[in-house]
Amino acid sequence: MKRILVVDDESAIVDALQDILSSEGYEVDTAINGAEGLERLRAKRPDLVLLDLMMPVLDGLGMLERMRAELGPRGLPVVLMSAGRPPPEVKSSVDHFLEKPFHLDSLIDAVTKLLDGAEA
Amino acid sequence: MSPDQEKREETPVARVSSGDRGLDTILHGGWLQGGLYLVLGAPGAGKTILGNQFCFHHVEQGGRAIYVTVLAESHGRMLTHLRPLGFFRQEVIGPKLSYVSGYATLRAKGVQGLLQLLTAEVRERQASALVIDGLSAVEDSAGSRLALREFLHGLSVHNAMAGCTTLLLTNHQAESSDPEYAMVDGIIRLSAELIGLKAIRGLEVTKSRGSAQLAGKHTFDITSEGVRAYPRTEALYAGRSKVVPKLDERLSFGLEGLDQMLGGGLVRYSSTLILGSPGAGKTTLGLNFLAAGAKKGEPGMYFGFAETPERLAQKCVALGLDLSSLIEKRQLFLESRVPVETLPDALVQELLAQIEREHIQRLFLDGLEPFAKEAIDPERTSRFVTALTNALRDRGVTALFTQQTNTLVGPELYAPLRGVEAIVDNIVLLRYLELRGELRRMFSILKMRESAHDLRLREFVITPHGVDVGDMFDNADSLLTGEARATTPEAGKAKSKRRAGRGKPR
Repeated sequence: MKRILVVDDESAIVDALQDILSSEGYEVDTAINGAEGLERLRAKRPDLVLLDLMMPVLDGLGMLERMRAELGPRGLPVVLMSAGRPPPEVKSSVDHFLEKPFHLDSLIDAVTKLLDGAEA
Repeated sequence: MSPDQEKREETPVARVSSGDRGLDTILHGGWLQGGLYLVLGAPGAGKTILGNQFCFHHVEQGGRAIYVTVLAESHGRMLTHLRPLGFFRQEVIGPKLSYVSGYATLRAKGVQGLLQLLTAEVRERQASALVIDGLSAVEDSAGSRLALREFLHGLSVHNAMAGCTTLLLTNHQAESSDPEYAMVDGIIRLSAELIGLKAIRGLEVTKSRGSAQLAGKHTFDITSEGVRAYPRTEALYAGRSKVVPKLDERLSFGLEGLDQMLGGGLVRYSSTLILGSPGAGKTTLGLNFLAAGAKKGEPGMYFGFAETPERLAQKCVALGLDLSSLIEKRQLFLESRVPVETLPDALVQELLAQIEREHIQRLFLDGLEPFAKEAIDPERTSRFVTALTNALRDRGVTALFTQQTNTLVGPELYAPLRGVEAIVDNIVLLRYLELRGELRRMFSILKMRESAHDLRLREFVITPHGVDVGDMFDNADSLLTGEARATTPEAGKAKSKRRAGRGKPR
């Protein structure tokens, strides 16, 4: 079973993503900020990270930098999520960008494409 | 970023129709797709019909919907009550529209259990519309404001992602400090109030995220087609008309003397009030205006309340005005409504729709009172009439309105709707006056905006051959009081020939 790490400080989003992705057959782990996300990632490496950009303690960019430093530039597929509009270099540094609020289908398409190589 | 993402960034949030055109207008296009809305109202206010109407309409448009009851009416009873309504479609129940009870889950697993049930159902059934009927039971079960807040937040986040527009129906009258008030994208309050003996249904959008709404209270009705909301006329047509009256284009009444007094006729796109006592000839005058236009290929419409179209046409024949050929050619339309229990904003919607459909250029609205007086706050009158005249002008209509004065004869002229005089471009007065023991009709132009006109008071004559203005009332004064005073013994005698063939006062 493919494993997804969801990192977002909004608990309702974390709950919803966990619910949705579990029902799609994925194993889901969650964290509420970048620092906690790194801990989870080190404890059990996921196949994909769903990462919010703006979070307390350690934000998405901070987690991304440290993750890349530890695992290499393309060590793990990352889907970045944000209600804001990050600069193009940030968007292009990840595998997919989801602007909040996003549709369920966009999420499933992105995850399926990255994990299973299926066409979105 | 992919081209799809670029495109999405420029696209405004999609809207989903509520199932009623009027409510969509009030909501500036409908519910936000994936939005969460609270519909408040006492039992019998129309929440269940509104919720079901949304679901059936949504399914009709290709979506899928779930209607969840939580300690509300049983599904069987609800469907029995819905069956006679125009939007009901038995065949969609099951495949596209599911009725689900959430109470057993709520009782067994609490609000979080209900949330899981709802979100799973939405995904499972790929629903893009969800109605939860009975939120007050969820509130009671939540136990704390925080738990309710979490439930609503979870539902909001999930359904926004799922693109599932959600209505929460409740009897509870939420206050702005209540959790549900803060968590939802919009709040609609349904109410019913007694005005005199009449019950008037009201609808107000008190919160609408993402866009403005037509603020304030609007009327609505529950018809055989379901909920019909009527946006407040003055909220819809608040802006100044973009059409300017054309001073160089005159619309004739086809009555030589009267047209001369008006400088050739009424200015195109202007609005005119015919003020007069009952039977003074207002309707006859207005129908002549329509007939004159229709003969020239300008479609006209009579919209009145007192008489049926058939009776009106018969009376016209008796006055030398045969409208039948114009009606057959669809150059003239006679419309009559019963002036009881009317909703003015509904009438305006109906009127404007017909004007657009038939490309009406001349309108004779015989009786402003049912539009501006029935069931609405008297404070609305002047704003309502202003908005109506704006809307008519924007549709290329030259309008004639009548308003009846309360007195048949006498020095006082009391018009029940105040403030209209300042709004319209022109005012003509038709009234009875008593002169030497005889009732006579008088015509005068009290106001004609930006236009020279005849200031004289003239006799208005109705004969079996037609109507027109006659001579001045020489040798008499105080005519406007209705109690004319002969200034010489001969006053009034000069017109005896003309009056000889006059019909009864109408």
